[in-house]
Amino acid sequence: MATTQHFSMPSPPSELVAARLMSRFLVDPLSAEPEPRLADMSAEEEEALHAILATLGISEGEVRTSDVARQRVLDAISKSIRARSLTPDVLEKAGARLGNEGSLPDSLYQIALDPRGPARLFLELGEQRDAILNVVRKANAVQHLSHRGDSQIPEAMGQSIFVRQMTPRKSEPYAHIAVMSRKGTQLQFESVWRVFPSVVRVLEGSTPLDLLRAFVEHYGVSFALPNRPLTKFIVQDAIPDFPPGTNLMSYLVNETGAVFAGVHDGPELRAQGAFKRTPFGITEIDFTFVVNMTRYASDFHALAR
Amino acid sequence: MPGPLLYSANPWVKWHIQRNFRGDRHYVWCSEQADSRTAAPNSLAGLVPPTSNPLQIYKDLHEACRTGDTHNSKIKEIKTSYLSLTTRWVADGSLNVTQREEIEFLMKSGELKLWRPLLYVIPRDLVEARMQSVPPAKRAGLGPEYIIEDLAGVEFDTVEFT
Repeated sequence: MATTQHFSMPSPPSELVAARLMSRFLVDPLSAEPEPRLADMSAEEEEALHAILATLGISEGEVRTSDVARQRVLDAISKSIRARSLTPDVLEKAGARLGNEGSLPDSLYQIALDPRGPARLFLELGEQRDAILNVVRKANAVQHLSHRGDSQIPEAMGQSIFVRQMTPRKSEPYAHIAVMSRKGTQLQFESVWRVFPSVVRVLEGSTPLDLLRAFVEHYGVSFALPNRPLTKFIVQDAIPDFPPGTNLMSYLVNETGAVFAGVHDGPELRAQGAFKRTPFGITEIDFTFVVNMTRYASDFHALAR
Repeated sequence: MPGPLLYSANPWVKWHIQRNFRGDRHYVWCSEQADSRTAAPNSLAGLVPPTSNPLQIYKDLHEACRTGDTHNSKIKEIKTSYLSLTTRWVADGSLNVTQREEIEFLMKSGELKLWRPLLYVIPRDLVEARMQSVPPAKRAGLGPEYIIEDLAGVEFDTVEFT
């Protein structure tokens, strides 16, 4: 009669036991005796260590004397911790969280720039796709505006403002500003502007948001939101009472005659707003403004050669 | 006579993590010379070997980033070290689980730009009292090396050669 022998792998140590064990192997560089501290281990730690040593085929003596053996034990504990709690799914969510907060290193954001979307207006004006992407990739300054309560509003996006200082050989230096929406690890293009110091007064030490505000003070159109004074630029405000059936953008369009793109009589206006509506019916605005595109295009063509 | 500055080379991601997740306190190994090869031949500072020489570490990381070498030993060493450290920090309560996941995301991102080197320039008089001499057994060579466990972000400048 055939018999079947069952082998079972030792169950991995709990994360806390693994962490304690690991800390014993993280040798204090200032210690005169750079050996793992294996005295006074708890029963669980001893059991976990013996299981790991048996799996790796390493003796306790080797662990005390060999850096290589010690590193192999550390690696085994690391793998056990990763397998338990740092799975790809968990890490992907961690990346999205960092992205939403604006805490992700800039090079880890992915950039979406659809020439048929908001970028179309700027490409038709004369901006180059690569130049826009370089504002983001090679920015001299970045400011990520956080939005509040994002977990409650899945569609909410943060806003990021990138600035790149440009010094063309044959024309005036300018600051190139790109405004991007931010969700998870994605940056989505919203608008790009050139700030020429001969036209827009920029103060030393301005933040990207200051720069955008200075730009809008020059090229912007005044508007008034419900129960708010006339202004050209709103940053981080909460409006509780838009009329039924309207939101920030439709309100701005009605208020100023702004359009996203297109040809019509009179100055062409472009409204930009980063906002979200909370479950309580309040519109939280990251920032919003309306630009007189006719005026801006005139300066753009005169100064950007 | 020791100079007024100390030097340490570290990858950008380490600086980023310490600044954003550890209260802008940095654990650094440092040397009295940016490049021990330029120290006087018979001086102790000249005895810091390449593996601990800040400029050599800088060049090594720079080369790894330039060539896309994700298996660079320094990068691997720091990745393992951070997994160990974050586990320990979670265990001692100085880091929460969410933050550990975020640090691990950075470590595993595969984006080599995160590993570009920074040279820390540290005015010695600000940290003299907290400099701990590395025991000879843990040094890579005979030259003096120091550890500062809690270097504040305002106590040093970072230099990046482009």
